[in-house]
Amino acid sequence: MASTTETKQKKMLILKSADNDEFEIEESVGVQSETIKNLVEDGFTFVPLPNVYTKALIKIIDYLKKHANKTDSNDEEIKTFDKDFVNTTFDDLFELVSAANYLHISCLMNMLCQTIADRIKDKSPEAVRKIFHINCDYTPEEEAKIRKANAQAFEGQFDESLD
Amino acid sequence: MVVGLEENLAGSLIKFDLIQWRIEEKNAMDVGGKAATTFMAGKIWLSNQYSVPPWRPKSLNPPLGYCDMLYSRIPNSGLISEADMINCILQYLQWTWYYWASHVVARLVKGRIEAGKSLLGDAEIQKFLSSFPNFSLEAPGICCLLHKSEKRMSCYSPNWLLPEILCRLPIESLLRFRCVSKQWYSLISSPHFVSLYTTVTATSPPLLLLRYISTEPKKQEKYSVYSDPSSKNENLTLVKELKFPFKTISGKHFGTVGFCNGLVFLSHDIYGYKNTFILWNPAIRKKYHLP
Repeated sequence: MASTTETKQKKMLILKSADNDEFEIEESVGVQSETIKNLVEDGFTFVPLPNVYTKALIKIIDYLKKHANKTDSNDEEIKTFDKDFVNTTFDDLFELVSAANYLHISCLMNMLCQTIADRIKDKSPEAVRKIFHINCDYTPEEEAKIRKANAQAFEGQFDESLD
Repeated sequence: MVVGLEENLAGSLIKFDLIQWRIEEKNAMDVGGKAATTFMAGKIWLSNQYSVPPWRPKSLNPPLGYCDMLYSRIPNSGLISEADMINCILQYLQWTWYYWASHVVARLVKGRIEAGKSLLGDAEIQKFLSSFPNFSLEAPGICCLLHKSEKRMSCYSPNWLLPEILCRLPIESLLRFRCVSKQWYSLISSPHFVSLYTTVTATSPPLLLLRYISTEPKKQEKYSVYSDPSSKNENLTLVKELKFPFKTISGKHFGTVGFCNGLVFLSHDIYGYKNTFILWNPAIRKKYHLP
């Protein structure tokens, strides 16, 4: 495999973000995304991504480059990279997860969803509403009823912070 | 289409009724010298799976005939026309089989997406669906079913994202987040979410349910959850002590009939002639007395 890639000239792809910025990446890096892979198999080298904004795309290309060079020896390095990668605001995470979903990068999807889940699991319902930009549509009576029915889940203190 | 927990329990009940108990009893073990039996309890989670629609009236047998036949043909796409599907939906709605109707609607909508027709802009579908008062595209069953097709649509939509995130949460958080909004409540309680949750949690290492019965003092029964010693570490590690909410009248212990997906089925034999059966979901601390 490696020798064939070296002897051939490296195939390049151009990705175009929703803000019309263009990025050139190696095909071997790009095909980690199922969406790109399907297009490459159909012979495309120019990939418009109307649902992925530049900001998210830059981060995702970083991720793909890092993970394309995965070997046994740099396992720790990748772990550190992933940890830094998800260390961002909730809004950025939502942006990334939606881009990862569009690009069909399942390992990234899993990592992002797991990160969001881990970060909200100890939060109060009020904090979760703010994080997800949800308006509470319960009346106070309805909410009290649900809290009462699930009283065991409301024992103790919860994290009210929004990060 | 909001499904409460009560319906959930009733749904699983029907399942137990139809599918025979699969007792996953592992070898009886002696732990710490005390007589105890370790059962493989699958995972102690909210995990009622559905094999029949929970909305089915208990007294009714499934209507055999037209709509069943149609339904069985639906998975092979292309075999059935849109007009047939709409007929099928009407049939299901007539039987108040919203669950199956939502399947067919999802199929219909998915077919349109695959044919390159847009979903939300499709006035025809909107108009058609709005003719059913109990039905909307926002209904949790439909959202979840559309989940896969929506992935292809790639628009940012919390409808596909929410289940992905929520199914990775521990059960306590899920119970708490039911009061975030009505949408979250119905999503968390919906059968599709429950089965998604079961699939996701099935990949995590199994837990053991330890049942400890003491003879002195009498009547004491303790249930606790341990991590499985066969995976990596050799010792049983206590994960959680369960509150056992039942008491027998006769002073005897409850018998455990079986386990399935984190549900425990208990029986109590009163004076040898009358049995009480209890279905217990320790993860969400709900119980259901069988008649």
